[in-house]
Amino acid sequence: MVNAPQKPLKKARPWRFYSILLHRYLGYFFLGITVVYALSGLAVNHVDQWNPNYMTEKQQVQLAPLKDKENLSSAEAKTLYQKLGIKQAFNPQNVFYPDPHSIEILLSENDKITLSTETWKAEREQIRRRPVLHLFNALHLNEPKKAWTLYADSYAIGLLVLALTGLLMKKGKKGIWGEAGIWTVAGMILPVALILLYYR
Amino acid sequence: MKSFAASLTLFAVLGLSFPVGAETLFGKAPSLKNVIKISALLEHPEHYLGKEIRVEGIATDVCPMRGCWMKIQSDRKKQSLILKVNDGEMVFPMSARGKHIVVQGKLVKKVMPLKDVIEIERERAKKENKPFNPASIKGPRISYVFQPSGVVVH
Repeated sequence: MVNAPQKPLKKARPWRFYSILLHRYLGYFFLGITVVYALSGLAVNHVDQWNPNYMTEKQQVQLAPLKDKENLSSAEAKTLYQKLGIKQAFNPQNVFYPDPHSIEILLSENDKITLSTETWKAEREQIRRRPVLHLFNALHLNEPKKAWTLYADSYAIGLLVLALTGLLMKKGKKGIWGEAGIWTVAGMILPVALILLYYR
Repeated sequence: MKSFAASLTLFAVLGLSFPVGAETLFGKAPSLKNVIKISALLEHPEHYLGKEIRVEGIATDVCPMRGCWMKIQSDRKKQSLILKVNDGEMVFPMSARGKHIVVQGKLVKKVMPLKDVIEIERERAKKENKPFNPASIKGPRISYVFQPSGVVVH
């Protein structure tokens, strides 16, 4: 009589196997959004030095004083447009008088002329969105709200899980208490020091 | 695992495909019906301080850096009202320039210290190549900004 071949017993996998698995797939899934947040983070961090969303072009011309400070006539606007090389027709409805020192003409949402009624210098400011980066920043700052909030929240939780599963990845006797622990503490020194120094 | 990834992809695509309307709301939808004219507000600001009110007007400028302020043209010439929010609370888009804005919120009084006023005026005079005498500044500068709880861009 021949015994039927026995199926090998399934070994229970160690918890570290599932931890690494989770780390790996969360890493894949959140790769794209990590790129978005990282690039936008770099851009937004330096907001004092540059505009992360828009590129600005400025053009200045000198104008003769207006006959009436409170009314930009069509003829005067035409002269101004010619000096700035604007071919668009003048629309008096786009003229604003925001304060006693200036007149503003909105040519479009991205194109504006500010005329100083003190120096009679006119400055045209044209802005253009930075391609791609503008969208990354919008996502980073949660401008879309709604479903994006949910997704960004899941990313935040995902990052926590990634950090924890990363921490538990180290094998060996010491585990997280050895080299991994030193790196972890090293990374915490600066933020903790800043909190203690500046936000007590 | 593949089908799980496919489901998540579908979820992400559906989640991002919310319809975008012609109006854009920031914060809570304005509920007050009575509209206060910006000129009236700026003429008697103390009367409106701390009260929840509604104003309307054309946006002539938006903070290009963080979208944290917006300038609304008054119904009277040489006047405008600044809407100011804490960074990130609402992010006003540049596309709001030239659009009709409906706002509900409170007027807040700001006092700029004398030394800051002197610094600003010194810079301004420098820019305009004009002489500047710090003694010409008599005291701190008082201004009023509008802190919105809700903004609709039409």
